[in-house]
Amino acid sequence: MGSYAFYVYGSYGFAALVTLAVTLWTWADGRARQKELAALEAAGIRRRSARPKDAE
Amino acid sequence: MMCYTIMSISAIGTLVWRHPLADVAAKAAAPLGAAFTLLALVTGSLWGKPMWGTWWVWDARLTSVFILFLMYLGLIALNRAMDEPSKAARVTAILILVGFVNIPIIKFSVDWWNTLHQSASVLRLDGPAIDPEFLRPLLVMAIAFTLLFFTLHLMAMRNEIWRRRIASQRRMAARMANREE
Repeated sequence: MGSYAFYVYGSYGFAALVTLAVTLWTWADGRARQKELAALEAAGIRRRSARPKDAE
Repeated sequence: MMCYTIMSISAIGTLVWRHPLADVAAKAAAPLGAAFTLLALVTGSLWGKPMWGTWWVWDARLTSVFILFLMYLGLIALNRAMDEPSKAARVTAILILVGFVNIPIIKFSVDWWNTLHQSASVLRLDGPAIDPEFLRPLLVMAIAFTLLFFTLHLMAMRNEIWRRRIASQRRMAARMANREE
């Protein structure tokens, strides 16, 4: 690899970093939204379609 | 470029059919497009230094891809700057469609202008000009990153739908609380 090592490993490293960051960010965002929805549900705030029929 | 094209199709869906999922798709794709474009710019620069002897030149291909990156950032900022979701969706959709003019410029910039960046070497009428030893891993990675994009896009769309559901449930809870007072 010689003098190209920095450029090759640099490209692999940056690609891995961005790929990992964007995947983790999307996954973490989903987890946070799921928790928020669960908290709302626990507080009794539900979508109309998710409410039991006799509650309406 | 594929991401921006998907956003442009979504923008047509927002403006013509006013389908809420079209706006969800465009909004979810923008950060992914920005990340993938940044990746292309940085790794391209890392390739350019040993091959061209420079990290960066303001030639047509590199500049038009940099503009694409700025477009993604601008679209994200514009969408977040507006309070009313339906207005934000329409304004963002218009800007997405205006920005689509940059996509053919990126593709054909190397043919239209004299650039340091080499001319098209994969999608050519007379077949790829790259040695199979380079072409095969290039195509494998292109497929891999395309699949990664679609997976992340679907995940981000689901997150955006949840975000909107949360906002709607909060509004509903606030209305119910006001009625009880």
